[in-house]
Amino acid sequence: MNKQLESINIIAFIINGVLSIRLLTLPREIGEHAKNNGWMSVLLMGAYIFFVGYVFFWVGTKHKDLTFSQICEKVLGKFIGKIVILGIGVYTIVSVGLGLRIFGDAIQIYLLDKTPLIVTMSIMLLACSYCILKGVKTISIILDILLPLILVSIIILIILSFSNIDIMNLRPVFHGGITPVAKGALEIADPFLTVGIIGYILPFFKDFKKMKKWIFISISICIVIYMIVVLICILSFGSEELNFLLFPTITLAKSIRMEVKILERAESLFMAAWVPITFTTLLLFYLASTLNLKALFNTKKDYFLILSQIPLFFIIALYPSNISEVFKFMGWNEKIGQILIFVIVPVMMIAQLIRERRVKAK
Amino acid sequence: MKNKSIIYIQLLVLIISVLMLNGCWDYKEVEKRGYVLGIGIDEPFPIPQGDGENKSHMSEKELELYELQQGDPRYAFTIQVPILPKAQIKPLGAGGGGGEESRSWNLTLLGRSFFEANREFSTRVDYMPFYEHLQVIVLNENIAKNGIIPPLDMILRDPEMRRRTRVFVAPDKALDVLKVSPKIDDYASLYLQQLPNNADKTSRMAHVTDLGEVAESLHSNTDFVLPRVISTEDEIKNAGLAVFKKDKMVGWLGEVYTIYTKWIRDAVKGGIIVIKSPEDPSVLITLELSEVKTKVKPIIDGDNIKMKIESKAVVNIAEITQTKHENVLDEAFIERVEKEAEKEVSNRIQEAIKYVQKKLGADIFHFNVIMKSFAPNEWEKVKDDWHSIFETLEAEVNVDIKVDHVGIIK
Repeated sequence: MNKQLESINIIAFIINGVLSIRLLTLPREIGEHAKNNGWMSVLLMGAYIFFVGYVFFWVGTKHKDLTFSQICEKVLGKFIGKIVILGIGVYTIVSVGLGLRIFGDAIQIYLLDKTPLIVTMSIMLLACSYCILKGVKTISIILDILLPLILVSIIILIILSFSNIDIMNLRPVFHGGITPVAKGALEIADPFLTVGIIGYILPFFKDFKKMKKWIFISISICIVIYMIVVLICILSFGSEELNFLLFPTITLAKSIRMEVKILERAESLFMAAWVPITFTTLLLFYLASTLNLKALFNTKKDYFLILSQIPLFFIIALYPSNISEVFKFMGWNEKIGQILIFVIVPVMMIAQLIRERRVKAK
Repeated sequence: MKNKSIIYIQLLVLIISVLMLNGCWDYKEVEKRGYVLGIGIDEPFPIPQGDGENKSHMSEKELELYELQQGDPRYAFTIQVPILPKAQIKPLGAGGGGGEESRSWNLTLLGRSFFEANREFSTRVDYMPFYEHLQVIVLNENIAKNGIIPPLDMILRDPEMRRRTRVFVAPDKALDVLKVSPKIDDYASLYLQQLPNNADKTSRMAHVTDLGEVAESLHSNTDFVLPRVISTEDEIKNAGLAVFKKDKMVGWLGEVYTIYTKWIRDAVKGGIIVIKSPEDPSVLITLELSEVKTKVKPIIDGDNIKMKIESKAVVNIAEITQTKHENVLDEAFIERVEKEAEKEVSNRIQEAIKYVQKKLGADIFHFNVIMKSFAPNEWEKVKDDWHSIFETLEAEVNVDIKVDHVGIIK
């Protein structure tokens, strides 16, 4: 593998990966469980994500030239390793497919209602596969370019939304105890799991100097952004109304209105941002999926693997007949994600620790 | 040779993409959009509106009827579309003045489902109605009294709609409000949309009553208010409130009660209160509200629930209808004015609460939200029969008023 990346590049990978299309639906999904305490769920999960990110990094540093999937196979043994890789494979491929579908649906609802779904989706997918064919360096540069755009537009959305908030919506704080908050936290496990991209891009880095610091900073930024978006949605809609909104964040952007007649359609700002947001997430899932499949089949045929996944993505994206079915499949896929994040990650860490001890003992 | 063929292929790709990618599926000329500025929802009215004498055409009344797929018409939907060439207010100054011709086009259709009616408009208008710039929704009183969820559902569901669209209730026909041609604006809808921005001048109008607010109240089972709008041929007035219990309107609230309802809801942005002078009851003092902050908290003592309303206000003396000049720099006088104002406001607040409890029975002061927020455990116990509790709920009012400016004469 060619090592081309500087350790600071990891910021763009993590932030772009974690900020996903789920930003549009997540406030509702958390709100359904945690009500007005949804922002605590984000913090709760965020604390765990630091651990997950650290495990991915730590395991990666132990095997400098292997991706997470290859490490799985090496550490957990061939049989269990392959099962885990298969799990990761299903998770990443389904994530790309469904992400593509939600993206297409949202585009169709809010922007281009006559453009066929398949056209928006194929353009997105073609752009992704082109990037991946070009290699990790290209991806890194593109992510670096898009990162400020994404961050700035989310921050503008947050600032503009401040005119609508009602602080009363936060009350009663922590009524109902920890259980609803924890349930809400499970919802956000899925978008946060994208920090796993660390495990797949580490082999491409020249060195790991200051890497821990950059990982810490970028995960913190993600947590803060998710928390503020959830918080603002709760503050401006109230937890009950939030349950009724399919895309709360877009609704939030649409409900910006100033007394003076400027920014009458402020949502277009945000609309322009979530296309790149989706693009980067899909791109990274695609990358992880490709690297994972490489480990699964033990092959080096990049082109074949990259291109052969495209029809698979389309089938998954077009299979659900409506949005409620998409949400259903996403629920199932989330379950796989939750197994990965709560079982596989700790297991990997323990297995690695045991392995090290064994090596020492010898 | 090889290089040349690559250039040719690249050129070919370039030309193909230029030819294929310049179009857009959703391309739409900006002047071919029917910008809907206002929606009016009425009961179906059996009155012919056009001239029935011209027999060569159908009368307007017949145009407004169409064959429904299901059920009978229950609503008369009106949309207002601007006639752009006739607009008189030009962007830079000059213009205005009442024209003879109408500058907007109000189309009415009778129907049950708004979306069906919406598509039926395409049989009459050359361009599709486009709702992204919708400014106001006016509901007729009778529609509001029969429940507003069915007529508003499409407006809440459709992605084109915005939650900051203002909603009004009219005691007369909603169509009449849209038909007004204001003297200093082109379209009634735009004019009406701008009116609540004056809420910092007077508190007799509600200002945060948009579609989002309505949706939030409907979905969280909270009673709410909408502004009342009345109209003549060329004038619109926005004052007073329509009171909703759950999704049905139960009555009107007068302008002065509106001030104090807003006061309790902590929504006062400005306005005035008039009090009697502490020295001489025949002299009136007008105070301009510059800042009002209200905090409501429940006091729970066993099964007994009370509301504690604490309010702080900063006012300016704007006018004293006196025969000889008093000394407003006299501290004692200022203090007496403050006391008098505090007494007046707290009495009026109590009065407003009593009136709403007795006559309307709708919790428009959002005491239930206060309960939910500050006493969630007690709220769980009382939430099922909250309305009966609300009717006898007592309030403890503490008002603290400070005079700030006194004007420029003694």
